[in-house]
Amino acid sequence: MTYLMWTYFIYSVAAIGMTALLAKTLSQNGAVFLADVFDDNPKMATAINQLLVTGFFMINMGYALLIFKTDRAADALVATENLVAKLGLLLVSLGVIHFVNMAVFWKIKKSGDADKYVPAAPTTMVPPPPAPGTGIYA
Amino acid sequence: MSTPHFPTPARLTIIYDETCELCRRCRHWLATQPTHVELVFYACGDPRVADLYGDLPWYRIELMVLSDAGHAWVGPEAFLMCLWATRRWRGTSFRLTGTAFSPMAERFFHALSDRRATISALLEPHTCDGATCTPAT
Repeated sequence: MTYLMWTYFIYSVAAIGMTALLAKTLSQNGAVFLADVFDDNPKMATAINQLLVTGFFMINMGYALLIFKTDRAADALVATENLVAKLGLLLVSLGVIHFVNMAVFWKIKKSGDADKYVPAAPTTMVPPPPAPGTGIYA
Repeated sequence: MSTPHFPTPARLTIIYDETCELCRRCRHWLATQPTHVELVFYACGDPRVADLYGDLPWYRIELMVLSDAGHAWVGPEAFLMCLWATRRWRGTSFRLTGTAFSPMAERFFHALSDRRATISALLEPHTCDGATCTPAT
C-alpha cells in the first residue's frame, strides 16, 4: 500500500474509534443527568439520551468523512505529519461538539431543576394563609 | 440568598401593601402574567390576614409570600418567589440567586421595598381592574 492508503486506513480506524469512545462516554455520563431530570419518566430519559448520542455520532462521523481527503505523501515522515494534523483537527472538533453536548445536558438539567425547586428557602414558618378569593381587598 | 432544594408549592399567597401605588401596580402586573402556580393576593389591610400575621415584625414593611403549608418568604426572597411563579421570569429568579447576581439583587429588592413610598409618590394613582389599569378619578 502507498503512504496515502496507510494514512487513510489509520485515520479511518482512529476516527471511528474516537467517535465511538466519546459517544459511549457521553451516553453513560449524560444518562446520569437525564435520570435526575426525568426521575418520574425513565423511558423519556433513555430516549433523549439515545437521540442526543445519535446526533453526536452523526455530526462527528459526517465531519470526519468531510475532512477525510488529504495530500499525497512522498515519504513516511510527510504521511505521518498529514495523519497527525488530520487527527488533531478531528480531536479539536470532537472536543468542541462534546462541550456543546455537555451544555445541552446542563441546560436540560437546569430547566428540570427550575420545575422541581424554588430559588430561595423559606424565611420562616407562619400559620397557613386563609382560603383564596375571600379577602376584601383581594 | 441561597438556592436550596426546597419542594415546589402548588399555590402562593402574596401579601402586599395596598397603600402603596407601586405595590398595587406590581400586584396587577403579576396578576396578569402567565404563571406556573396559582397566585392568591391579599392586601395587608385585609382583616383575615391582618388577624393572622399582623403581629409579625415585617408585616406591612416587607412583601410576604406564603405557601399553603405556612412556609413564608419575606423581603428579597419574596420578590424571587414572585418571579419564580411566572412562566417568563422563572429562569431569571434562579439566575438572581447565583454568586454573581445574588448580592446585587438583594440590595435592589431591599432598596425597592424601602423606597416604595417615594417611588409611589412619583406615580399617578391608577385603579386596576382585570387586565387594565386606568388613572383614578
